[in-house]
Amino acid sequence: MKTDFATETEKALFKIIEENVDIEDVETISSTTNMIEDLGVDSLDFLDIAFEIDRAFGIKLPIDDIVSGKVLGVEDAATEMTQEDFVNLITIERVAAFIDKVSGSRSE
Amino acid sequence: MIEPEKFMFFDGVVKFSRDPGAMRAIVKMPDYISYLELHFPGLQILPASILLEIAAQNAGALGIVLNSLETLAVVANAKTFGVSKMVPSGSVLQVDTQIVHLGDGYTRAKCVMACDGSQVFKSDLTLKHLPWPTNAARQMVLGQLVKAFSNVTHVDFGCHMV
Repeated sequence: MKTDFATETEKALFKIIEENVDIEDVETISSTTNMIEDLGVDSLDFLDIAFEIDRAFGIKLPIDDIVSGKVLGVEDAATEMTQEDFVNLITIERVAAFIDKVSGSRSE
Repeated sequence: MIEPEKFMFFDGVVKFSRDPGAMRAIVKMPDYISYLELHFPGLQILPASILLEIAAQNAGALGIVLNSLETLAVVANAKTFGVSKMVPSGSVLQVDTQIVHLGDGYTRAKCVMACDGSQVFKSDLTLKHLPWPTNAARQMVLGQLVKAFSNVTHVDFGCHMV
């Protein structure tokens, strides 16, 4: 596997995704891989992934806030999110960074 | 006896555990259900959709109780469900519900139903917790919960009926 991740959290997140979603080509997965556009994660998959993240990291992801785009590192929170904006945010590195933020144990 | 004509399929809790979240309820279906008259004439069979609704209401009730009645728990998805035997009206169902995961605003539950000692249905459900649509809805559900849990003496709903 030639997956390339910057942090342990990204690696752990990808492992969870891989266990819940059929990924055809894992050779090109990296931190910037988009979970929706590149990996085909749908809303039901996302719930499964979120629950596994909760278990693995001992946290409770605020799923609705993630889906509404409120918490994934958008500095300009006053700007209303479009569906396209949201899709663009769901990368492995952004979600992993948010997990680190919530769990308070960022691992670089 | 439950009241299917009122679309209420939750009653008769006989076991309850808060941690881990689990519940067993006995659901006695009536012999005749008017809207199943043609499903089928002479022998009414509970449709899979009704079995799923029974699971949903039981899992929802458990989710509501575990969340101290602060939210309404409704089905967001049924990840899997399967019917292994036909269930005629008049059956007594043993409904076992177990919480698999309590997330933020979501609960995953597993529900298994048995009839005459044999498993007839199972499902993995995800419940979404929503604000109560009206106070009347909350009061109605609370009343049903108090009635259904009347045989389980150690349940404290954490609130009182108004």
